[in-house]
Amino acid sequence: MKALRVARVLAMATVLAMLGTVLPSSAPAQEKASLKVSIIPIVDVAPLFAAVKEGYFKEQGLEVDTAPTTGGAVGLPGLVAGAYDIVFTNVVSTVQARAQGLPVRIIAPASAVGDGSQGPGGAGILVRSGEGLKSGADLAGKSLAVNTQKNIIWLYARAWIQKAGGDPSKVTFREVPFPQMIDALRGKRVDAVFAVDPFLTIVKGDPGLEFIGSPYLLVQPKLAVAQYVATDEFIKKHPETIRRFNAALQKGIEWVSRRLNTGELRELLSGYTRIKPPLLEKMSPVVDPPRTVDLDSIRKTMALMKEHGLLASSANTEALLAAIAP
Amino acid sequence: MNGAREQFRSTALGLVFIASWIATLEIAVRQQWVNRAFSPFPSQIAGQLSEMLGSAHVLEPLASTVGLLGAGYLSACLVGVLLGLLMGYNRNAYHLLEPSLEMLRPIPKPALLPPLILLLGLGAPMKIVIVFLGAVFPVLINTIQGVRFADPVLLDVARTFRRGVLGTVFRVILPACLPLILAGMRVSLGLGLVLVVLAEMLTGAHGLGAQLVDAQRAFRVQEMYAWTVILAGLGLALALIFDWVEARLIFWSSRR
Repeated sequence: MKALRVARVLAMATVLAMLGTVLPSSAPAQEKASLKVSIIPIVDVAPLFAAVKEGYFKEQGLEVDTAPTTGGAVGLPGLVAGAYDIVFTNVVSTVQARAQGLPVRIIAPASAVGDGSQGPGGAGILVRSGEGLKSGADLAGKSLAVNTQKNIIWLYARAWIQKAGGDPSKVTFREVPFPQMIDALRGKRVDAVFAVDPFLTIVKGDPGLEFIGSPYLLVQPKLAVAQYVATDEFIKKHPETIRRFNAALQKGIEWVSRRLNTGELRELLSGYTRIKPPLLEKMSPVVDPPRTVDLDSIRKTMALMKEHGLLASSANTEALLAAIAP
Repeated sequence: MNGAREQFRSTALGLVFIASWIATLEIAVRQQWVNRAFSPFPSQIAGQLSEMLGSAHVLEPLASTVGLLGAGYLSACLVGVLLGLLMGYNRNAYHLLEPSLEMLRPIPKPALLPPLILLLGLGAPMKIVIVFLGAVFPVLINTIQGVRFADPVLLDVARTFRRGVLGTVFRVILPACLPLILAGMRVSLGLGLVLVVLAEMLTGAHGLGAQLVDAQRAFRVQEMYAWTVILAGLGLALALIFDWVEARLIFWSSRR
């Protein structure tokens, strides 16, 4: 997951504070004019911010208020507790939430990994040069840092190790927040890191570090990494609002798609990610945002989740897929 | 004469209260007053708990947490008492060290976690150090206070018996300050537990904190609450053990 993680302690406190009550409502279906959307301030949500900036939501009579969080593990509980109306979250968190009985459903696509034609992309494995680690198989007996255990990054790192002929159970996974990964690598506390932009780009050109591959691209090109999710109840009560949200978002997607390598997009990005335009310029090209939710990709992700223990092997993936499909 | 009955009544009152709010919670969740997705029935949590306690799934994280806490806490107690005796007894030592310690003490110890992770990595040494840093100050301060306000009569008695410095400090002053020192150690124990669990939550590999966060992230809500209950149980057990040790050490001191 391309995510900048802020102090997890804050996230924990937020979750605990969100356990609010939801009283059953008997009001007739009323459409909402203002939406609270939880996001991670990364490249993936550019279409949403574009739609806000260009007034597409206002055209549809909607006011969108974005709230930054550290991701699905925080956003989804907040969603169910009523603190947010819509949440930007990675697909693994969504599937896990649904599998545990949380009534959440995808309403719109958000981001996908590229197909490799434009370079290695904004996420991948870094090692120290000269230690002979060239592929996933070489990591046996070594340690690999991921931002959190058992999330989408962890999952695809394991799949990547397997694809290279290695055994993920022989690799020690350590949790290191993204901003601290390079230090941990240089300081020899871990042997490899699964890092994301902008940190990946910041160390480009450092002869001491070597990029050895992108797990996403090798395992599942065009992986549908993240989507926008809402609760079943919200969708049932506000179908028109969801339709309007999607209409405005699609326009935002078109806006971004037509400006993929331009200064205009970089200006939008630096506005909410706080990454300066010169650094943005050096980062991997922005991937064209998907227009629809790729159910096949989600199916593949679910299969991987089962294989690596993130989903019970007895779970009915087709039923799950039907439950979360828009 | 009504000692036994009084005791029973006071304990029973508390237990009845606990039982009644657990029952209220159960009803509240069943009636959907509280969001069911995040508040399983207490009966479900109990079921999950018994399942977990039956398997060995609990022992490894528990041992890890207790081990780290023990290492950090005991070393903090040792250093706190020895340094406290020195600083309390010797004015020069006090004036030398006090300003530096006064700078470190007010820092909320969780704020030290990011620098410590950077300096010491994510493993056991970092966790032991953070527990040490949190636990040493209450013990240290209480020891210093205890020594400085030691009863002068005791000191005179020691001099009369021609006890040397070491003898005075360890055979006369230390036992006299023990109630205050133990009060500091009690605070340190609670603080140490908080810090070790926090460190585990943030560096998620082993231990109770890591298991808690793992369950939270995967939305295994019942399991998450079960781990919380286990943590509460651990805290309670540690407090009871401390009480038992304290009662044996300072049998002469009457408590409020």
